[in-house]
Amino acid sequence: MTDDLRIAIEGSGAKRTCRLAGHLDTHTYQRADAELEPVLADASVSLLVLDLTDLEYISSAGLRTVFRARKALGARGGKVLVANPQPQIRKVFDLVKAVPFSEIFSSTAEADAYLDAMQKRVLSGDED
Amino acid sequence: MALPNPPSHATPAAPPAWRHSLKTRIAAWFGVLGALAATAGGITLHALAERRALAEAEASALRELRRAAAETRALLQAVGVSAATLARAQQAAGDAPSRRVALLEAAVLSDPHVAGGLVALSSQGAPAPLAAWAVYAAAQGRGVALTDLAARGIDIERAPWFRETVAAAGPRWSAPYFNETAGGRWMVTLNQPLPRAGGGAPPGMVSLDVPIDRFNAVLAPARDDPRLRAALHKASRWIGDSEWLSIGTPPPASGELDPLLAPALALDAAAGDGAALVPLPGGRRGARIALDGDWGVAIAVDDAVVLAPVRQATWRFVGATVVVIALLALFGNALARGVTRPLVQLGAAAQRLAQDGFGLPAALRARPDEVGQLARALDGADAALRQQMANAQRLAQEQQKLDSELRLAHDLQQSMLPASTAVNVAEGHLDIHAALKPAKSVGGDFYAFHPRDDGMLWFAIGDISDKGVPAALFMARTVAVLEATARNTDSPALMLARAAPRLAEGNESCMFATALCGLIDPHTGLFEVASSGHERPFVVRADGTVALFDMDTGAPLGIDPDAYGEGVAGMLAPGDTLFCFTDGVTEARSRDGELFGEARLAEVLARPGRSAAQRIADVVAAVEAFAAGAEPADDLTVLAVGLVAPERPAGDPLHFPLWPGGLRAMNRAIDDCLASHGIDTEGQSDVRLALEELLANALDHGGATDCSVDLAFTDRTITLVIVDDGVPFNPLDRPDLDLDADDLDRPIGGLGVHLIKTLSLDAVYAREDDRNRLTLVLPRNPPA
Repeated sequence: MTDDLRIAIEGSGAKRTCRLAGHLDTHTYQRADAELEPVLADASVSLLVLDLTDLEYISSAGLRTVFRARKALGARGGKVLVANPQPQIRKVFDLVKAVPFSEIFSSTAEADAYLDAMQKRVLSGDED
Repeated sequence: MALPNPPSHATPAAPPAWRHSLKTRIAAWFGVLGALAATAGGITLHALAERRALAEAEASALRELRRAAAETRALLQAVGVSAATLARAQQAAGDAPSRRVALLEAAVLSDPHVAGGLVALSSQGAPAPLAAWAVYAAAQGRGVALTDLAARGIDIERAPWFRETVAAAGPRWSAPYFNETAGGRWMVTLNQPLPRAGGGAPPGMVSLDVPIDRFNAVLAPARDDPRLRAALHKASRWIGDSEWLSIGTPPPASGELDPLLAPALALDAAAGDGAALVPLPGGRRGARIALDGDWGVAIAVDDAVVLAPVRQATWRFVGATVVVIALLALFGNALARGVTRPLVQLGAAAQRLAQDGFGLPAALRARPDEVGQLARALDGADAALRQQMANAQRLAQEQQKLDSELRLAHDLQQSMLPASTAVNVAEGHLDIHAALKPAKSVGGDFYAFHPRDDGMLWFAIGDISDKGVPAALFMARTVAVLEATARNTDSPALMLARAAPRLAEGNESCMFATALCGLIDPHTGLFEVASSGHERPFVVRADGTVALFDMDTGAPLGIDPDAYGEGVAGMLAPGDTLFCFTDGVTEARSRDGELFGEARLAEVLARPGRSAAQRIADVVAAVEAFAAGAEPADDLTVLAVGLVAPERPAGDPLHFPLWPGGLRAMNRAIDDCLASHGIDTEGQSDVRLALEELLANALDHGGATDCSVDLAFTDRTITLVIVDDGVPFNPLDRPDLDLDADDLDRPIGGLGVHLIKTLSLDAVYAREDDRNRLTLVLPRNPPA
């Protein structure tokens, strides 16, 4: 178990994917905040998928990073989705109700499928 | 059931020691009184006898003195008359020498006192042509032997005896001398000058010799009396002595004689009249009578000799008295035996009473004296006494039976109490111990416990409102009911609620019981207790922190069928103990009436690192020491459940300090420890989360510079003890967050505390020694 944080942000346009690996805690949350800062500041981004497949540990400091991201995107009608958290991470998310149950997915593919469905509904809604 | 034999009442009383016996005392008093009387009488008689003996000796002495004086005087006069007669006859004899010699012979022969005589004439008086002549006649047998002194060449006129006699005016006694002529004897001589013719010198002299034996013979009677000593003297020369046989021996000079008589000779004329005895040196008394100028008779009495026979008689009296007293004592003894023998017989009869009645000898009852009266009185009381004793024996047997039943009840009650037990689980175990000290042989306190099939340990403790047999019966019923109601529920409150109506039903005597019952999970240390009017238990932490368990209590069991308490849950970490007790502990009284009290109990419990069994022993010993010497007022019951940590393998430290490695190093060490104890990723994550929240808080915001973490494990739990030196901060005081996942504006702080409260099974905060101390119990995966 490593107590360091690895972070990788991919994608372009309105949807970005941020892969977090290792520990997101008191020691690492500031780095995560700094990496996410340009994404959150970019008004064109409306969707952020946090891929937590390799995240082993999250503390309340890390939760605050997630909250800040939700708050920033939520302010302009965007969303933060959480994909594939390990059980212990999922448990912490549940305990503090960090993310609505419907916005946590067991994989990025599931998240993508959800997003596609959302997009279709939006489009058909526009048609309505 | 065999009863032991009743104690025998017929143990024979030992006879009184001889010195206490009446017999001895009577005999002793006889002896003492006899001895006193004999002593007084003896002293009086002895004094009287001494006085009489001394008086009698004095009388004898004076009588003897006067007699000796009279005889001596008569002897002297007789010889004087003979000498004077001879002198006058010589005057008349003319010149015929033969006639003078014949006269001399006659004078010597006629006087038996006289042993010899002498006629001497000077040249003037002698018939011519004789110049001077002298003839000495010595008595020899019946005749006389004559010696012509002149013919022997003696110059008569120049001889000192002649010249002194002729020069003297009258007859003179000579001093004693040794006379060879008269046969070698000691003599005294009376020298008598012849009458003068005209105015000239006496023409000659006559003399008569008397042996001093003659004078000594006068003292013969005194010689036979050992008390007396008599002496006769002329001037300073001794003539006779009652202790001296003078034949052939010279009369000693007075100084050479017994000095006892010397003072007698010196007695002056006034004292020397023989009228009374005067004291002499050496314990003697004496008297003297003077005779014819320088002659004298003296007598002395030796008081020691006088008193000797008296003393001898006294000693004989003493000896005889001792014999008489001994006889008196024997007589007293015999007399006393006549009194004590019937008393001893009465005593023996009294000893027989228990079995056979008095059975007094007829001879005793028939006696006309006091003994007989006593015997008849005892005989009359016999039946009543035997009845009484039979009653007493029956009562004693009944009491014994009752005691034995109580003993059985006690044993039965004790056998209802379970022995200490341990519930073992994979890591560590649960220990339960209890003690019950009834104030009487049976008590009203109880405790019970048993492990249930589901692995939980059920326990109960309680106190019946009374003591003794009724309480014991109610106690048995209460325990039975509680054990029954404990079966089908996990809720202690429900157990009590089910028990309440069953114990209240038909309880006409209105007895009631307080009870505390609970369930504890040996895997986690989680417990739940409920109380029906019972004392709250103490929770004693491993480090000795003591606190009353915070809970409410319902009404006691037995009165109100609907009353029961609520269940309250708690948590024991490894090393902790739940300590339950009855009011017999807190209300134990010292001899001064002081109560033991909860504070003292908490003090006894506040020892770190004690097992449940040790805490039971600590408290029982402390209460017994406190109440030493006081009558126990109530039953004393204690029950302790302790969660015991597993033995730590050597080299497996469960204590993690912040320094010197810093926070990350400490976290890594804790991770490794958790992994090595088989804690899964989720458990590790929980621990890490809790630690990070607390330590970041303390170090970043609480001003802490040091902290440490201690770990402990059970089958189902992980216990964390986090200590830091920051400002006082109790995270458990923070209000619960109102969490809403859809509310994006909610505050994002306080999540850590929320996480901790949510993750942990139990949490206890304490501020000790300027440090925050938080104990957290987290769940874990069951060990593989």
